[in-house]
Amino acid sequence: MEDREIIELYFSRDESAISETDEKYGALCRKIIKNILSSDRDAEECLNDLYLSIWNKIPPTVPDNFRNYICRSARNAALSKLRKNSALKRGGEYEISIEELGELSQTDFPPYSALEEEINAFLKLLDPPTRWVFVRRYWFFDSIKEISALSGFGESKVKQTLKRTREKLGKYLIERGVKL
Amino acid sequence: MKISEALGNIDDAYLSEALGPAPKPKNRRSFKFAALVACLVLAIGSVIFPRIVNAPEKFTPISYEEACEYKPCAEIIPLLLSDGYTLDGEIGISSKNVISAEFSADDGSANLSVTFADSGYFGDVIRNIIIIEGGSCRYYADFGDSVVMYSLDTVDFAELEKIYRTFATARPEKGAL
Repeated sequence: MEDREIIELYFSRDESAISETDEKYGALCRKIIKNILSSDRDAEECLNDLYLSIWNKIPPTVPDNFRNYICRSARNAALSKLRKNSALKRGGEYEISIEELGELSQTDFPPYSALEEEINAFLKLLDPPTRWVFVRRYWFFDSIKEISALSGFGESKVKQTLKRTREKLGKYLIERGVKL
Repeated sequence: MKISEALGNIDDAYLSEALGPAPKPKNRRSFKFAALVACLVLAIGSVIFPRIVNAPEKFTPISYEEACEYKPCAEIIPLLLSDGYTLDGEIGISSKNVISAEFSADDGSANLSVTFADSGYFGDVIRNIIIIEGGSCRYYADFGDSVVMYSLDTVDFAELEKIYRTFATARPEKGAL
């Protein structure tokens, strides 16, 4: 079913909207959530919360890109649940990838959108393969092994690409006056 | 705000890109290394000092996509990226439309500087031959209207083969040494 048709189901308050959403994007959402949360139970609860949240938000919200919208919602819901539980998934990809960010992850940046703009500007400067690897790691929290399998790059290349990109990001932010 | 939160708000375009197919490394073509060695022997036999007629220029950063609007950047940069090099820093463009990019080998064995310019920019320097000077080497690849200068900070046969491969892949008709 097309995304537009699923959104129409939400607007007509047809509960099959949720099952259609689950059929089309359930696996993707589960993957995002599982990369962040520790237990299967938490992940399943989070997924149910996510569907309820989407049901409550559409309408009036009309997502431009339903897939991106649901991915963002899944990520936010999982991070929110993680904070609420204060229970990090030990050894999980979220924890590992955040630890990789090192000094960057420890810094409290001022709460203004300029940082988001700087990060988007930085991403624009990257070549697409590097950007793809970086986003898969730090947005989706995919493991190195998964990124390697998906991209066809060797694991060492993925690690090297991530390391260089983190260094570049740190340098880029310092050059723009962000104190680390 | 933590950087992990800021990263969560990346543009939709980058999210869509990451949800799309993974970039696949291009198939590598096999080349006869002997041809490259023969070329090197010729190059070493000749003491060649290329003359760069243009003074150093100021470069303004441009994005990867903007750089790829210029040929042969669109051909060469993706080939280098798929062939074991990582882009270091920003791609720059000068007022004379000279484009410069720095790369490093993924295994850290070499740094490569690539300059894309109009054919006349490098003057009468000899093209399509490897020039070795001390511990570094250069290669001016002739693309007809434009020339690409590869400058490698080491004389490493494996790296030279990679560079030659990108040129030969981008312009197979010019590939014969």
